[in-house]
Amino acid sequence: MVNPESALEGTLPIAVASCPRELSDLRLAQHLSQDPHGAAPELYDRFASDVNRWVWRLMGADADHNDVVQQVFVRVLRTARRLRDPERMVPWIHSITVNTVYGELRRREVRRIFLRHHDPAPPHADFVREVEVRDLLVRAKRLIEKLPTKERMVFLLHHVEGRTLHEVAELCGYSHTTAKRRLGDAHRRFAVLAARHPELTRALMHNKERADERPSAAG
Amino acid sequence: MNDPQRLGEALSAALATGPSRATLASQREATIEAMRRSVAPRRTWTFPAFALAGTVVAVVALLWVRAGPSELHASFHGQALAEQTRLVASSPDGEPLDFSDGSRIVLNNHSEISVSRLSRERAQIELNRGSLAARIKKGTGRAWAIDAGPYSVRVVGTEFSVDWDREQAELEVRVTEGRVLVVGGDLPAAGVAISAGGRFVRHNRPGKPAAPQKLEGSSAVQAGVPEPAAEAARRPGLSTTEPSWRSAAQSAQYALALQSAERAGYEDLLKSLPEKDLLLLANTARYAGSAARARQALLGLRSRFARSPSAPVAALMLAGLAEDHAKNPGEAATWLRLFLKESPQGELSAGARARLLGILVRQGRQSEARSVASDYLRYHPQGPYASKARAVLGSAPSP
Repeated sequence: MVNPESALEGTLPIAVASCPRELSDLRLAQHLSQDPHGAAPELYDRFASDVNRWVWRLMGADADHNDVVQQVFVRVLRTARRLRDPERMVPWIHSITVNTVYGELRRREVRRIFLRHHDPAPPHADFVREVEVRDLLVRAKRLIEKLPTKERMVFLLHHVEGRTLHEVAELCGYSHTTAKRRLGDAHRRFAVLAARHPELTRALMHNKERADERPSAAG
Repeated sequence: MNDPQRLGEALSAALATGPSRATLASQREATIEAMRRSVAPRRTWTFPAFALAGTVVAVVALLWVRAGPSELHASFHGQALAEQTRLVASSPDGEPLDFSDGSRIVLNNHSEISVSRLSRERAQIELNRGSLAARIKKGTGRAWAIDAGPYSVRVVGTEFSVDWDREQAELEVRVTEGRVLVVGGDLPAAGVAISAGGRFVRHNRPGKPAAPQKLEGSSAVQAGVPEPAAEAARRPGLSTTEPSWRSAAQSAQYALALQSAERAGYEDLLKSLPEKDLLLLANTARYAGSAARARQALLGLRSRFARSPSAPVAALMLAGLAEDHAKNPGEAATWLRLFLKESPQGELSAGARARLLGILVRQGRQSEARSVASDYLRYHPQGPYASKARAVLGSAPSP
């Protein structure tokens, strides 16, 4: 896993393979390098949707969602001058987002080691949808939090965010082999954990099947 | 398809796409401010002595900023409070709640709050009913939020009061000093800013019980540090016991929680529990596999708190019970219609319409299905089931 700080130094990490090359991004990159203070609202408006989505899904509707999003944007603005290729702005921001989330999860992992009692935080108050879904998420998060942070990130990026192994490797700064190994380790560990909670897996599947059924029922 | 992949997909479906518009609106202001602070221009000192002093100050400030706000603790009558503790004021003079950063909240008589969160970065108090006056210490870097029903009053450092009439779903905020932002409910996405001297009153309009998530979210009560009942009873204002069924429910031991609730007198709980606990009890029964007990709790919730934002949520859950457990799609359709009548444009309405549409199509109730499909397209033209709704109406799907 890329160190959150080192990822921002020198050559910026390359992330998702395909990214839109919009003129607005080029203009925004120029604005950022010339006047980061003034470009802050434009940067936020352009990427708030993306960053919120990634943080929300990688951290599982976390109660500290807003804090992490804020960290991402502050980090982007502080290091904007180092962006050498404005056309890589989108993957660069994705990469910073992943590294910020990783840093936060790592901090929590370390904190858990020193805290005797640890109650997982409740999900963000916005996470409603359906009451039973909320409860399922809390239980699923407890399970996934048992994975080591590096494996957890790879697992989430691949299975929840739907990134290919190649993309995961680039986002995390791994070689393809390392990403594959981490995912394999996560699978093995996860299988053991899931076997201890068959009711959770069943409930999640039931929830998804019900969601999948709706369009076909209407059609 | 292997299990991790299926679980990942299920989790992805559960998470959907992100936080609410209200959260994004309040996030924007704070984030842009933080970004700007992070790149604020620095002054250059002319004299060496000033430069040295400046460096020292900068180093101290940097260390302080890096350390961030200190831990936040709350105390009530000199006794430390854990997160998720509920307080009910019972003194006519009000009950003060003191915080380690110098902030103070005075809870007026008969008012009830839950201390939802106390951390370095955030303090969150839920005003369940009644009113409070707050004086929040400035310059701590900590974000404060007072949640009241579907609304949330966001604070940085100021003095204000919040009054939440749960029965009437009416919120009143008065700001004495500083500025607050009220978000949530049926307010505009950007929220409403109130400056010093300002007063804000809002009714949650009937038929639009906005943002039920606030109530659902807070219903997921987390375990606090349990305290001996006798000690709690000696202190004025503190709710006396933490029911054991709730503790078990919080730790996902639903069968055990239901047993405890039965021992405590399930019928009595239905009559005495506050709204949020009743919702928790209903969920506990559902997860424990007792659809009948869940149904009782949900019906009780709708009967006792008919005008609360939880009432339509209960209707939605009753629809789920009717469809999944009782295998009674007709009853499910009735509950779904009731939910949509009470919450025609809420965040859960798209899913409810799709569900209702599915039931009507399966039952061959074509004219009713067409009417629901038409509603679906009117309220959710970009919804995930829009093409199916068009198919029901017999029109060509959009390209």
